[in-house]
Amino acid sequence: MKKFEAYLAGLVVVITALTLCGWQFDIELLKRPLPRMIAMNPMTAVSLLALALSVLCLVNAEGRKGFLLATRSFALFSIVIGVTRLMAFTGIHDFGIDVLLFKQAIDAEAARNILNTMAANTAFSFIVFGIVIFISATENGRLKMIGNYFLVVVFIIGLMAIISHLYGVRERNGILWYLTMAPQTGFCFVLLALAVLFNNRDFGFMYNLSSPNAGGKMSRFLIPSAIFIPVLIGFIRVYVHLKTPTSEELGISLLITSIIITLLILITYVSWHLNETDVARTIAEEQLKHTIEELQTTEERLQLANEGTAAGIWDWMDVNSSDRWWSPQYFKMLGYENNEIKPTSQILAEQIHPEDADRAAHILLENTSKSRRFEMEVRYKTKNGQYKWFQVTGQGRLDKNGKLRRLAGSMIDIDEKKRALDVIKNQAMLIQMVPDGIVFSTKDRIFYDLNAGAEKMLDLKREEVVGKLSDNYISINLPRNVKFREAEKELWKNGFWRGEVEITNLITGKKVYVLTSLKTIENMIGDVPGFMAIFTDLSPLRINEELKIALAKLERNNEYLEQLAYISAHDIKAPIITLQGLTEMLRQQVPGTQGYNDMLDMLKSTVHHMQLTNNSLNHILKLQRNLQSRRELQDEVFSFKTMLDEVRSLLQHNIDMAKASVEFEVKGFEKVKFHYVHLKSIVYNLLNNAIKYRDEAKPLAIKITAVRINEKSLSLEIQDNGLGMDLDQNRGKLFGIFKRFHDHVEGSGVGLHIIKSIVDAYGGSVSVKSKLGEGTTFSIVFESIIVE
Amino acid sequence: MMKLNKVLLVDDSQPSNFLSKLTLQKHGINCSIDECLNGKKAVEYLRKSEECPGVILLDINMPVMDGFEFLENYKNEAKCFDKSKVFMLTSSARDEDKNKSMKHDFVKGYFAKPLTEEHVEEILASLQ
Repeated sequence: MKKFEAYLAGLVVVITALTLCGWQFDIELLKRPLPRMIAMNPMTAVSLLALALSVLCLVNAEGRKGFLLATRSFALFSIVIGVTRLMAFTGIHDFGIDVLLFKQAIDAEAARNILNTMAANTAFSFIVFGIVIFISATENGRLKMIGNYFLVVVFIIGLMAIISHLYGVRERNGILWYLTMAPQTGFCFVLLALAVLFNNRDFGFMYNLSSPNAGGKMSRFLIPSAIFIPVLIGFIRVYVHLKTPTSEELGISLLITSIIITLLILITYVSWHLNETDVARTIAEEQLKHTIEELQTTEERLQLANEGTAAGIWDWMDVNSSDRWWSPQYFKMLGYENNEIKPTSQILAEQIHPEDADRAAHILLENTSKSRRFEMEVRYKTKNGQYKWFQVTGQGRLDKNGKLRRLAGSMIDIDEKKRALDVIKNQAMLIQMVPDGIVFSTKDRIFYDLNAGAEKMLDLKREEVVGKLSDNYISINLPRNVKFREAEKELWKNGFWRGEVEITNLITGKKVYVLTSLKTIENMIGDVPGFMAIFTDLSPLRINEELKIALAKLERNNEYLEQLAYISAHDIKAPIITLQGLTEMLRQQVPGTQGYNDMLDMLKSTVHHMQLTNNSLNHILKLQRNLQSRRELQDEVFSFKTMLDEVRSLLQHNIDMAKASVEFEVKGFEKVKFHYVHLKSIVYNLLNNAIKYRDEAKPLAIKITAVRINEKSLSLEIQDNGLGMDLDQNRGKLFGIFKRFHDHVEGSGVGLHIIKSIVDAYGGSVSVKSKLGEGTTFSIVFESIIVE
Repeated sequence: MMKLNKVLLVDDSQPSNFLSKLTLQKHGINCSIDECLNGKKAVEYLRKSEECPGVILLDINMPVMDGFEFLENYKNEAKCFDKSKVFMLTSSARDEDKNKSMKHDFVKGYFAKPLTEEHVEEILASLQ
């Protein structure tokens, strides 16, 4: 448009320049292109040239001071010319400004009654136009708006001049004398007015005319029509009248009718055009409405999705602003009502857990600058002050320059999941920490996992055995009465099995004795069933058990030794005291007397008793030592019968003296593996007792019976028909040291004690049945004797 | 002072009994002194004798029936029970043995062998 305005002004420059040439070189065609046309006054041409240049400067100024100065200078020139000329009209003073140039030519034409002075309306137009240009050079929109109306006035003055000439108006009398503007001048004013109006199109009514809307379009179509069509019809009327003169009334009637028809056509066209536009607009509006409705539906759907989903949506629309947008779900997840707080960067900084802030910032920086999707797990403080875990995902959008513009994404609550994971982690740690061995295995006994306890206990390396068949690494020995298949069946039937087993590492040979608890797991890996085994090492308990047994044995030994020491002390002390007394007495006796000899006998008897006691004690101590340090290696295989025969031969003299009958019976076996001396000692003592405590009133009959019970035990019975004992009174001390039940024969009181000691040491039992005057039966069961 | 009729020594060691008898006689006990070699024989002695002994000197460790068993049996001897004053005369110095003996009211003393003058004086004093 700027160019268009410049062309208009440029056309004026050309016209005025040609006019001035016409004056200079007296060329009629340039002065007045048509005959009888009023010529443009040379000063008018100069002023118009100044105005045209002024407009050119204005149009191209664009705020530049030099151009604006030139604009104002040219405008001022035209105002001065206009004012000077008007002063002449008003009779104040005629400076003869309009005849300053080419006075001769003007005067010559005036002589021919051709008017060439500057018209009053021209001068007025110069003043008005100059002022409007001044206004247009400012930035004041309101003044420009008013200026546009003045330009319309100038435009109409110019148009009037053109039309007057066109219609051949000749009147020069009265007021019209003043208004004899040349049509070229009028044309120039019209052009310049249009140029400035276009330049000021953003102000006042021009804004309306230049609008791209329907009104603007319509006016741009109608205004030229409103000007040119009446002018054209008027011209036709005048021309027709010249050719065929008609009455004034008919001419006007035809003219007005033509104008009415033209206007009707125009209005019809415009209304049709408007209607068309309106229909199109209505359709467009309908479509728009539909589109809006669709949009609303989409938004509602989105909102529903927002509300329905567990994820909260967040949007940081402009990363240079601190404002954010959160979806209702986002608020809800943090414990707020929708829009309860205004989401900003500051709020976010307050909500994030201090421990997570740096990490989150780092992740954001790292990813968003490259528009990568990011994901992080952070804790945000909820409304009630508690922190919860959230998973935040998002992605940045970059602007044209590659700078981050917008960030948006979603957030889901992973607090429970996270806590559950923590629990799992803790449990996994616990499994690793417990001293018990824990093994996870598939149903097919393939190692799935094992803890440190199991690695240590079973001597296995986790990374080596996981995924491998456990049968290749360990063998499980179940308790003697449990079958592997049965245990397995029980496990899968009840889901549980517990028992003590021995596990052997097949590679290192390490053995452990463990309490095993098995629990089935239905879906251990996916839908593969498996089981968990917990091993508690019983080896320490076993050692403990053994220690306890050893300790008890030691305690028993101690007790025994204490008792032995007490008994020894007593049985040695007593005769010593007696010896002391006797020797004291002996001193007071006269040797050779009866009393002296009696005392000597007593001394001898006491010493003999002491010797017996001493022998017995030695015997017992030796036996005890022997029993305690006994080795299975000392056992030997021998014929039971032969052993019995040897005992009988040892006591043959006593048997003969007592005239006793001794009968042996060995049932179901022949040989035994045992400590020969110890077994012989038992039989010897029992047989000896039976002979010693015989009932003189009847012939002594002794029967020794040995019966095999099984491969590891036998019973030995010695039955006599001797004195018998009162067991009701003495059962408790039957096997005590130096306990004797008869004092009519000499005895050491250690025989039964020896028997009991031996049987106890080997594992077995001694029992006795006896009745005074009827006899005694000793029964011994050996439990760890090899019977062949 | 009550006249002491008879003393019974119960001990399986004849030399010990011999020494005890000498000591008693030396310190003014002139009555008859009998001896039994174990508890069982002492019980039988009490049942047979017409007169119960005023004093019994009892050993603990004896075959067949020991001193403690004798004390239990003595309680059931209707004829002589509580008519004799029992004194333990033993080589055992164990408190356990002493307590076990002295829990019987009729046991008047616990002497460690050998029998001494002080023991005899104590026996005599108990008779008053």
